Amino acid sequence: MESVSLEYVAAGLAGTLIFVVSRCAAVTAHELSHYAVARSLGYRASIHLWPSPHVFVKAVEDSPCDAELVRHAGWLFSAALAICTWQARAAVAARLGLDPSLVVPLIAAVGLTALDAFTSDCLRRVPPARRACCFYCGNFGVLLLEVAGASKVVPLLRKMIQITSMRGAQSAGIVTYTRQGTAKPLGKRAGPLPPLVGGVRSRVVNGKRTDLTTLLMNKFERTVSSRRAIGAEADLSAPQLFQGHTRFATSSISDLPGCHPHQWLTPSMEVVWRYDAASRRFEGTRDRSEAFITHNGAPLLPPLSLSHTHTHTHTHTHTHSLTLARARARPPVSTRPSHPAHPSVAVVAR
Amino acid sequence: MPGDLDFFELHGITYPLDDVRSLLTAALHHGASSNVDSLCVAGLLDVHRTKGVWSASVRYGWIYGGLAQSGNLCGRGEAAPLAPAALARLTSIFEAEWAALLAAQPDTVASAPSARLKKQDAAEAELSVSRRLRESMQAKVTAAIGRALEQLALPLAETANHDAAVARFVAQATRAFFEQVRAGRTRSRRHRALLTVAPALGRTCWRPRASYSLAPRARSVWSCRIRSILAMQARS
Repeated sequence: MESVSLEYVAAGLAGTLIFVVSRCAAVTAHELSHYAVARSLGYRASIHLWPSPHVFVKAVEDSPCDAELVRHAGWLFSAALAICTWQARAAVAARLGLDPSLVVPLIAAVGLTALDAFTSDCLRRVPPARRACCFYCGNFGVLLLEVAGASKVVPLLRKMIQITSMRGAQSAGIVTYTRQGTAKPLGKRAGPLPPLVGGVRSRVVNGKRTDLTTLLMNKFERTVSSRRAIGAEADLSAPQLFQGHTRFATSSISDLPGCHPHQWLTPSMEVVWRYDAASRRFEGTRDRSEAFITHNGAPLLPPLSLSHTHTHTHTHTHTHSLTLARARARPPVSTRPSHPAHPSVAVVAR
Repeated sequence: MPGDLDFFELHGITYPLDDVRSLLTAALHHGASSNVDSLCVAGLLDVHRTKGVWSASVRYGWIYGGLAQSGNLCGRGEAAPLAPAALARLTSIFEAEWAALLAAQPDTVASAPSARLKKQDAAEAELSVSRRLRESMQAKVTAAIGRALEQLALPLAETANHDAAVARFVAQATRAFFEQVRAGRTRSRRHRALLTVAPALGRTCWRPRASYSLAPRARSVWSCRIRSILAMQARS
């Protein structure tokens, strides 16, 4: 009786061992397939097996076609490996001198790896991290106060994305507001017309082999440049807000529609009435109306509270306040610089 | 998770996130592009961003004034928020009265001290003009709105005191047009405390126009933040 029990225990241990070893080997082989394809396409790549196995391919996001090739290589290889293992199960058992029942854990490990690869690489399904307690979203922003500081904006944004990505790097987005002509007044109006400000939003979902910072900034710079090319005015004229967010999905999957900055209503032209202190009258203009929001954590902090250094990052903001601020030809908040190295910009990051 | 929008309180009723999403869809006449909670924060921002825009003010006035006694809005189906045609009709009444009111205003450009007007004087002047115009608007538009509501057969007529409901709707809509509106009854005690403290701190010109309720963990986070703001003020 005891010998039978021991046999069961030994078989169980052997099966577990075979499963674990096979699983590790299958995952490593899967990552090697990504690596091999990336290297064959001329990219620099590195394999990371712990804590989450993945291959990082440098600058692959510059070529979407290559990125797709590298991505699909993994699950195709794992699927082929699973099929081959299934077909050759009898030969494998004979070759390794194993009991045929001990091949089952091997097939299970390889099959699980193929399924895992298919859902993550092909379907891009990653389970939401409901119980994650150490990852949250990150907010960051730059308020450009002088045109002289424009050249520092992109490097600062890159650095802030890198830092806030530590809180969760599943997806990210940036919005800025660019001047798009001038608002149309209703009736006669004395003095300069207020600028028409429109939001330019860029959002990306990070991949397993892509760098979030590169991905987002490439898209953002392309978007801003394209707006400039079609004749939109004043992309970097001060003051200009750059408001960003890196996301760690806590209640849903990480996808593009779920990525910040969020906007419910699409932009529309509205008649906006403002009190003009000079004429002591209400004056109406046809303005572009839209609102973006990025947030995390406790939501009731003042928006754009940059005047008291870089402690608050809940940048609930909208073009209305920015339009008003621009119309008055002054920054929407205090001009006190909050970054000693870059006096022409105010920086917030968390 | 702390900071997630789990529910929103309106007229003493707590709506879970799914109901908030469907109410926003009906109120804003625009569907949600995602099912994440943060998108509803953007929707709430659109509902409460009203100052200077009549259509947004009328929508806000309907939700916070007209439907104040209507009970659970989700139980009323899609009829609770204003339909696009009804919103346009009511907005046009407000806009017509507003245009007539502005046309009747004396031209004060020549007599104004213009650029030399001090900031405080300008704020007081805006307040004074706004108060006068607001009272005039409420007096002139209420009867026309009452007639329009009857013609549109909107559910406001179901309330016990129709005139009071109309007056509440007009008052909320005009207030939303002239002020940055707030949803006073939805505010938490800590939130009210902050609003009392914030002007004294002299560090914000912003007042939240509506609160969305916080999960217990977020409440404690918020409490800590108030304490840190007070500590910062004490240090400075």
